[in-house]
Amino acid sequence: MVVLYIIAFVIIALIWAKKPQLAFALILINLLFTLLIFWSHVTTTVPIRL
Amino acid sequence: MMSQSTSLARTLNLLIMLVLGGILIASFGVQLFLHEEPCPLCLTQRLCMVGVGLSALMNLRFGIKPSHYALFLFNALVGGGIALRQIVLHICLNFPTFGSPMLGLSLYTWSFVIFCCVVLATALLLLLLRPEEPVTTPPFNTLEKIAALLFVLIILGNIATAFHLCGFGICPE
Repeated sequence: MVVLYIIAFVIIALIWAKKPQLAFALILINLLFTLLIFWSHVTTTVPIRL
Repeated sequence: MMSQSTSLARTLNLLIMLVLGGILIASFGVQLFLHEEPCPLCLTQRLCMVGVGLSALMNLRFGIKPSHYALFLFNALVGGGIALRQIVLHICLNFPTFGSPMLGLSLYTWSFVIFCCVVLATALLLLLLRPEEPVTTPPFNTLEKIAALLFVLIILGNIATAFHLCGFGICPE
């Protein structure tokens, strides 16, 4: 979790340094890892019944 | 020269950043003054709110672009999905909720409402988009600098919180 927030900090630094493509890619990567953490929560706690 | 709709879109992007910043600071207030530590799902929802704020900052820094609005929607959908999952976990009657309610709703329910508002705001902002206009990137004004600084402080605060609660790994359930 800490790593994801550190990546968010890096994204702000990249936006400040005018690196749009890298910042864009890192926002997407951060989101992907957030999804993975969420999915690991879903599968290890109460499973979803659809 | 910026058109009126682009100027309005910039103002709305700034407003989204300030509102989300205020909400995230309020969540710190709950954490520090009501002594309610955030749960792992709450931390991921905060991260998605930070993601929406950073996408708005991209609009302010690099000009208004549809791809930045796509980031708004991705973050809002993931965050809203996580909030919905948490609502469903506590939805049964007589099942304890997590944390104290604010204005009658739990914080994760407010979080879901906020992400729905972000989707709605993105739809409105897309109406203001003028693809035929050249992308303009004027320098930051004082309020925009304050909003960016606010997000730096929020992210630093969340790094400290996440490290305190979970260390470097995934948060325990």
